[in-house]
Amino acid sequence: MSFDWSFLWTHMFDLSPHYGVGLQRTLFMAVISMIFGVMLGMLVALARLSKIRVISGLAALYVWLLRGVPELVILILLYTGLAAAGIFRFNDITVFGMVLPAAMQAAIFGFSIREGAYMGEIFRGGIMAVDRGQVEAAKALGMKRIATLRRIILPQAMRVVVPPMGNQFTIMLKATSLASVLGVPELLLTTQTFAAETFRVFELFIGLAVNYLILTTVWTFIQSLIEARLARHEADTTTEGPLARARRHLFGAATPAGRRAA
Amino acid sequence: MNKSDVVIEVRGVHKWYGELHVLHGLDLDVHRGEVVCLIGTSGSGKSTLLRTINHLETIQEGRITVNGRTVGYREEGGKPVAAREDVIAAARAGIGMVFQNFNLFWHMTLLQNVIEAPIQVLGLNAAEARDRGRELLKRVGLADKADVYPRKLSGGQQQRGAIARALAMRPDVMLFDEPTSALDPETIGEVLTVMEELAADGMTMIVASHEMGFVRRAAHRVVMMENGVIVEDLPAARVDESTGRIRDFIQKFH
Ligand SMILES: Nc1ncnc2c1ncn2[C@@H]1O[C@H](COP(=O)(O)OP(=O)(O)OP(=O)(O)O)[C@@H](O)[C@H]1O
Ligand SMILES: [Mg+2]
Repeated sequence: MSFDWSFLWTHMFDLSPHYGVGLQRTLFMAVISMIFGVMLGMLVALARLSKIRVISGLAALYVWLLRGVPELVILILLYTGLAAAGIFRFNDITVFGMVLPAAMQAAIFGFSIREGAYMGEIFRGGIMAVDRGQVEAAKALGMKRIATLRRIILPQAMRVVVPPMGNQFTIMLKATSLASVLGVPELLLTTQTFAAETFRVFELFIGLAVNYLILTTVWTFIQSLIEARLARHEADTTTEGPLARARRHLFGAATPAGRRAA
Repeated sequence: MNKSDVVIEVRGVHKWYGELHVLHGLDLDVHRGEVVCLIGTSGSGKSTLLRTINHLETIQEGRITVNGRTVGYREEGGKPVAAREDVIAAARAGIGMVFQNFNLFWHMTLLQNVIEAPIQVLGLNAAEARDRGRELLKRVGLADKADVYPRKLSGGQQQRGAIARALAMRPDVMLFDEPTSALDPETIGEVLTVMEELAADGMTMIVASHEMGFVRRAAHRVVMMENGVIVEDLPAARVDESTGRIRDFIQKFH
């Protein structure tokens, strides 16, 4: 069977009869998991920076566990493993009149706790990158710890945190495809199902790849706009604009002229 | 000046950084409206002394009071014990501090820097804080820079902004830790002028600085530190008559 161009064009942006819902599920899982992951990551970072050894130790253990185990293994353990052992079984629930299927809950849960570990490290790095002098100035003005964290440390840490956080979301967009293994009919699974019916695996998966590329590229532009806005107080007014940032995110940093020749 | 005029009282203060004994039972009284210039070689403990006064550093022995109140600790059995966080913060609010590296909050404009603590700590409403903030920026000659971010300002401008930020808390005393030593020579003068005006207005100040021009124009006393104690303490008008460590120090550095 030869490559069918017309099939690819027809289905490029409509990979299956269920494409629309599949795309919605992909975006929904990515956004919700990212939100939970960021909140969890904040807690993990503060715990890791705690002076209380037990708390920082537990946070370190958490990060080690969730970064060291493949994501797919985490998902299967959560959904299938726990149920098989009779420990916990995810059930469909209804939130705001929408049914949230069991498999999707498990997937979101798994993505969130994994993201919490990565974001925890990112936040920790951001907080540690804040100059001690800034904290001392806040203290000397009579600001309390919480106010200092909220008004001084976190906003400054964001400069360091936002670029890797944006990259994490790109990873998250792609990683949601793992939920297909649990039977969540997101982009990958709906495409796969349609491919099984039509036998046009190659065409459909090229289309699928293009769809993921569009998602991640659009996000990259949004990320660049956010970063440009956060950089507005830099001394140098000629810092790279959103377009240059987007180019760097998409293709990596430019090669210095001298290196190119070598 | 009688005893009741004492604003900052440092008595027998010992400070250790781990094994390193930095302040060796130091005593110092600063009276209301007095401008004390703190000099001494690097490592003699000037910064440490200033930082213990507003409790950025803890002390292990002795007592420090500002306006008769301890800062950052209670006394239990003659030993300083850490106080609650809100008590420390409230005490610090009345003590202004100016750092060598300015430490303006770089994610905020100059005006935002100046109004942040009055709003967060003193509970001023935003409009009131802004009015006072602009007033203070005018006083330090930065009225036109209110909406500029610190990194777009010169060192001298940043330091004047930092002084305005400290003044916004209406402190009783101001501590300056080498306020001009990170500045280009051209901009030192503008910062010293602001400090001299402050001194003339009657602010109680301790200034760690080797700027002899400032000493001559604004200081009342010169206090020389060495190895964590005060080795000479003279009225500023008589520094040239010093026969001790201050004379040696001035000859070496100027
Ligand atoms: N956080 C710290 N931990 C350990 N030792 C410190 C710390 N801060 C200062 N010291 C030490 O304490 C001593 C006094 O330092 P301090 O900064 O008070 O001196 P200084 O008189 O301000 O000197 P300089 O003129 O260099 O600013 C020095 O030996 C210094 O190395
Ligand atoms: Mg010092």
